Amino acid sequence: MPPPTIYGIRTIAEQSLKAWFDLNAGMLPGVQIHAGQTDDIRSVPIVILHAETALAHPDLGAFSQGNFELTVKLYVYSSADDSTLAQHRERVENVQAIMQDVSGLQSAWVAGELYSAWVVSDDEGVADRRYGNVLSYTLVAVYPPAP
Amino acid sequence: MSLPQTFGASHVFALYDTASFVTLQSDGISKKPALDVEVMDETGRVITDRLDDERIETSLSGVLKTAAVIPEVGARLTYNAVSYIIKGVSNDGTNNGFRKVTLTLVKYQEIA
Repeated sequence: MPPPTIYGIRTIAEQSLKAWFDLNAGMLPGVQIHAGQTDDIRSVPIVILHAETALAHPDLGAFSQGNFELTVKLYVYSSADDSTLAQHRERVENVQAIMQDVSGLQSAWVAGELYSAWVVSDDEGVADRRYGNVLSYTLVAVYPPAP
Repeated sequence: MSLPQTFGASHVFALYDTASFVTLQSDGISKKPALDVEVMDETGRVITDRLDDERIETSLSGVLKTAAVIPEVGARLTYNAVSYIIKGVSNDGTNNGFRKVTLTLVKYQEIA
C-alpha cells in the first residue's frame, strides 16, 4: 500500500506563489524571487514569498476539513546603493499587480484550490541603506480532495 | 482542610447529526405545543392548561459544499432521526468567506 499523501498548506502556498511569480518574472527584471525561509544565498533586489501563518478557517468551526486562511507576507527589498526609491516603489507596485491577478494565481496553484486572495497592508521602511516593503495578503485555500 | 477536587462533569458537546450538502455549523431545536388552551377560574387564575399538537421547529446552518444541491422548500429532511418538512431556505454569502445555508424545518405531530 503506498504511503498516504501528506500536504502542508504553507508549502503549497509558497510553491504556488513562486510558480506564479516565475511566470511573471518579466515584470520584475533582475529581481530574485525566493520562497519561504530559504537557505539560498540572497542578494538585493529580492522578493521573498513567505506564508507566515495558516489558520484553520474560522467559518468551519471545529472541523476545518483542509480549509485554511493564510497570512502571506511578501517582502520586497532593494539596495539604496543600486536603486532609487522610485525604482523600488515600482517593484512594489509590480508585485501588487502580480498578486492582483487572482485568477492567474488560482491557475498556478499547485495542489488543491485557491478560493481567493486579497491585500491587507503595505508597510514601507528603510534600514541599513535598504528599501523594504512588507505586503500582507490573506489567502483562503483548501487541500486537494481525498483520492 | 479538604484535598483539591479535580473531578469532571461531562456535558453534551457539539451537534446531534450531520447534513450531506453542508458542513454543519449549528443547530437549534425548539419544541412547543401549537395548541395551548388555558381555563381560568372566576378570578382569572389559570386552573387548567391543555397542551397538544406538538411542533418541533429546528434550524440548521452550515457551510455549503462544492457542487452540493440545496434542498427545496417543501422537501423532507431528516435530522437526528426526525423527518422534517423544509419550510425555509436562506443562502448567504460574503466576499471574504464561505457561503452559508440555513434551513428552517418543522415537524408536525400528526404528520409522520
